[in-house]
Amino acid sequence: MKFNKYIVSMMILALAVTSCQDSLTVLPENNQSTSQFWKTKEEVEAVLCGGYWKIRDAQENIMLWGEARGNGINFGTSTNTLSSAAQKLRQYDILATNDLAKWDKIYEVINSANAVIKFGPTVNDPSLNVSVMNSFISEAYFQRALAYFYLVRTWKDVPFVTEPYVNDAAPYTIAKNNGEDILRSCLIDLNNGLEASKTKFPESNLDNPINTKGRATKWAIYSLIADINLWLGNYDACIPACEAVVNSGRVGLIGGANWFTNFYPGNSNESIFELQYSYTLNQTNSFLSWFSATSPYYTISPYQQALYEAEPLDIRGLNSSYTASDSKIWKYIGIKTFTGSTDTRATTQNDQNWIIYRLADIYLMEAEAYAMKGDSASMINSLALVNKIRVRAGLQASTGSSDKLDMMKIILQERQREFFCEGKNWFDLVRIGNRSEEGFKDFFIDQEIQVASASTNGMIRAILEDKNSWYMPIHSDELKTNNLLVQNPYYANLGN
Amino acid sequence: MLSGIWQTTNQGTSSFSGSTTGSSSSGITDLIDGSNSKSITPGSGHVEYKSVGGLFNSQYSYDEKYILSAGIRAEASSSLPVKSRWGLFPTVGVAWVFGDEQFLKSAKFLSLGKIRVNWGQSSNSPSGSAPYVGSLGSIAKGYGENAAIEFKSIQADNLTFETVSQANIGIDVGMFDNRLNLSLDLYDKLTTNMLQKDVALPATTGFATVKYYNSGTMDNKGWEFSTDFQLLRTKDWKFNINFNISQNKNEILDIPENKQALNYTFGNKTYAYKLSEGEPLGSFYGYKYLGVYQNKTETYAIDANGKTIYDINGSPVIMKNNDAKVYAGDAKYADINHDGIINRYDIVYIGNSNPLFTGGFGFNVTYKNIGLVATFHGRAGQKVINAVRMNNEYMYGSDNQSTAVLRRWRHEGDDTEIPRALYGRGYNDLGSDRFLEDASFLRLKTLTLKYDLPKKISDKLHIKKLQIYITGYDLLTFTKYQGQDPEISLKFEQGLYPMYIDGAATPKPRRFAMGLNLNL
Repeated sequence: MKFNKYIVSMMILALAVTSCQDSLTVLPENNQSTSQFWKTKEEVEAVLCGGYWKIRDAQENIMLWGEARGNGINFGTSTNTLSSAAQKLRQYDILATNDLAKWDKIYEVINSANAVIKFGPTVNDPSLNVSVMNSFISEAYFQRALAYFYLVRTWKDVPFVTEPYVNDAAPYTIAKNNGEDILRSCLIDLNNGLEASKTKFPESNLDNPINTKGRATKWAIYSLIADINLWLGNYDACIPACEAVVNSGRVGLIGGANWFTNFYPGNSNESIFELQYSYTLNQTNSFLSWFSATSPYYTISPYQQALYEAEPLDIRGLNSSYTASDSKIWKYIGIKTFTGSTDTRATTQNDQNWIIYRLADIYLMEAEAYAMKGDSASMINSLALVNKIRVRAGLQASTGSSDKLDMMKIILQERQREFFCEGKNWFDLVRIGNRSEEGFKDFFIDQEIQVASASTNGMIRAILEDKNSWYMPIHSDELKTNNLLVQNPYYANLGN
Repeated sequence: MLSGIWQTTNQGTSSFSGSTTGSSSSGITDLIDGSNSKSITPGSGHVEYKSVGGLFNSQYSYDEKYILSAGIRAEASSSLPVKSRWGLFPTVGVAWVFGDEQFLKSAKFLSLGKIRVNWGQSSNSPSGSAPYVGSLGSIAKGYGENAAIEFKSIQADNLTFETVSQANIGIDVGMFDNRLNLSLDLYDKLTTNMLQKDVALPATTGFATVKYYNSGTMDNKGWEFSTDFQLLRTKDWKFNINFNISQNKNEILDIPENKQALNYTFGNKTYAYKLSEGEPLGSFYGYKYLGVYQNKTETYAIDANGKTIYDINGSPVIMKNNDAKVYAGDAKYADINHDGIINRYDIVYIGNSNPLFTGGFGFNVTYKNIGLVATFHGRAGQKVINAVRMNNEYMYGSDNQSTAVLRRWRHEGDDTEIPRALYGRGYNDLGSDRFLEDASFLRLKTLTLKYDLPKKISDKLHIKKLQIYITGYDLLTFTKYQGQDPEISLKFEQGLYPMYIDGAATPKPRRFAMGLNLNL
């Protein structure tokens, strides 16, 4: 053993092992770190309002999902990205790369609402009492339910995300859930939120109640409950929700010549929930370029115009909803019923609100629910409700019909005239087309081809026979990043 | 022997900027809202990065024959979340100098004999100060009268480092007083938890991307052999030769989740990028090229039994390249699934861009004061896509084409592999093995001739050494490759698919250098 060759040397350095974990956590200074958030009431409310902001950010999608495949609007020669995507929808040339097949903006709403629902109650702030917290959560439930309602009506089955993605604890990929199950789950949330929800919000300007009309009140929640129940065919649940709004004492129908005040200045007595824009608060939109420019993106369709012309007394028709010479959609570009070009909104009046619910909608939903119930007492109720809307619009009361489908046609016409270009048309048609009653699907298809050219009639009829074609494909980018998703059936063999 | 080291780093950068235009006076340079100020833009930032790390090594040698070494490295940085912040990376090695063993003492020719076995781990951390931290930020203008906040980025608590584990076994042998040296190494390098940057997330998360994500496993296996031999060692003559050869094979064991298994869009000049678990990276996928359809009969689709396919009216089905019907003179691709349509389902493996071997050899001769040194380098069995030929035989637009298109197909019976010219139409230039070429080559990388001034003369000039030399680089290339230069550098298509594609980069120039080494 040659130990003399065996050298041992040692270097010892003072090892400054302190609490390295903490000193190594460096947080960015230009944003608030997730781990440091959820401390005050103001933070919860700011995320909640971020949710409304996100819905408003998706407003162009919301409008086009509801109008692109309906029969109310026509497309102009000028386009932007989404209006050309919408034209593809109208032509039934729908690929998985269509920009309107993207649902990212809606899931951002959902993530924001999920965060309020999950982290709101963990906030330890003396100024945030339980009832305020619960009212915040009722608003978040509303945001989430509204978001899923748009998703389910547009895609049918979608992933149901109810936990916020703030970190990577949950897998990023998620499969689709049955759309009706999602809506039923949303209805439970909405009903749970009702008790704590607010009947009104404090306003700095009582003439322009932007908080009460811009955030989800009890009446907005009831409206959504009614709308979802009507979609699902739960007529007996839809009717009392409508009644709750009608009898709230907070809203009333605006009659006669004042109908236009729903759109200018907006936030009217009839309004329940609308996405707020405000020029003075620097929150403006592009409606003037969509609807008013020399060559607008969207104009009134001849079919829609004919609907108005069939009832010339309608105060909602010519010079209110549209102007005849240029087919423009006047409700978004005027300051009052059209009498001359001076009635056009100025460039600084580019803050038209986007109405999601107003009382007329509630009356017509209730009328539809009664009509679908179909017994003679219900038919009488239905007709009375429809006539309330007709009479306030300056029309003769309708004599109605004892036949479900005929009554439905009367109600749909009323909805088309009332909510022209308010993002409801296509969803109304799909809701009717989905009913199992005889003739409803054919009626839906007949409505759809009103705006199709003669040469494509046959093709569109054939496409719409397959109910799966009523829903959008999942965008190909989404399929690439989420391997649990399966393309919607109608588009499965399109490749990507 | 034991050694240790401990390091900490702390980097910080701060910035502040501000600009204003339209100030009321050139004298007012502050960032104030002057009478005519058009805009004031302030900005600031502060980024900090911290890391600590330590290394501890020990080596034990017994009888100078048995050597044992072990070490461990500990690392932590602010770029990783708390749970995975600290990483420990061990290394161990043993070596046995068997040449000194008693039982080999009789083997006088053996001057060195050593076997080495090493295993060790190292890591790669994500870059940036704190890329894992999720954040919220305010939305400008808010909603209505309320402030609004949104999620800006998702917190990546599961982020961890990419780990590289390498095992190595080697043998070194020196013989005849180290006149012949041999060295052989086998290695296996496994990369796990591969770091993927800016990974797209499903929109259902509410986020578009996550800064970093761990996914994928890659393995690199290979061997390296080198030898040098002193053929002659006399007073006037010295003659050494050397030789080396190596082979590397990489393989994807787990496909990173953000990379698609097959990435292909039908179109001219496009190859499919495919990752398959258990297959080497850098494989080419495309169509099998069968030449040119000579006549209409050849364009009839053939079923799996070699029979012509007929349609419902009894007329033969004509082949289609995707949606375009083919005609005589068009490119003929193998219809692998016999459906009469050339599309993504007919894509097959057509070759690999990894060389079978990479290696070189050289010699070094000296006679008295004159020396000649040469090194050769080569690759064997490597396939590349000749994109230059693909562009220059395209005949699709108005671009200049190579003279090869002069022998394109014109009439039935033309014996050519180049399809007819079709302006702006057709699929005669699909990614196929037509443009896949063997780029094996052997190249004389350097050749040096040198002359040392005789010692007698340099001593008189009071200088230690004066050497004059001339070197030629890349003088000779032996290859069958048709492109300009077979030594193509690797390109990562879409960040992951390594491909050797010849895009007509400037070929290696033939260079000469003359020089003078003067030691005073």
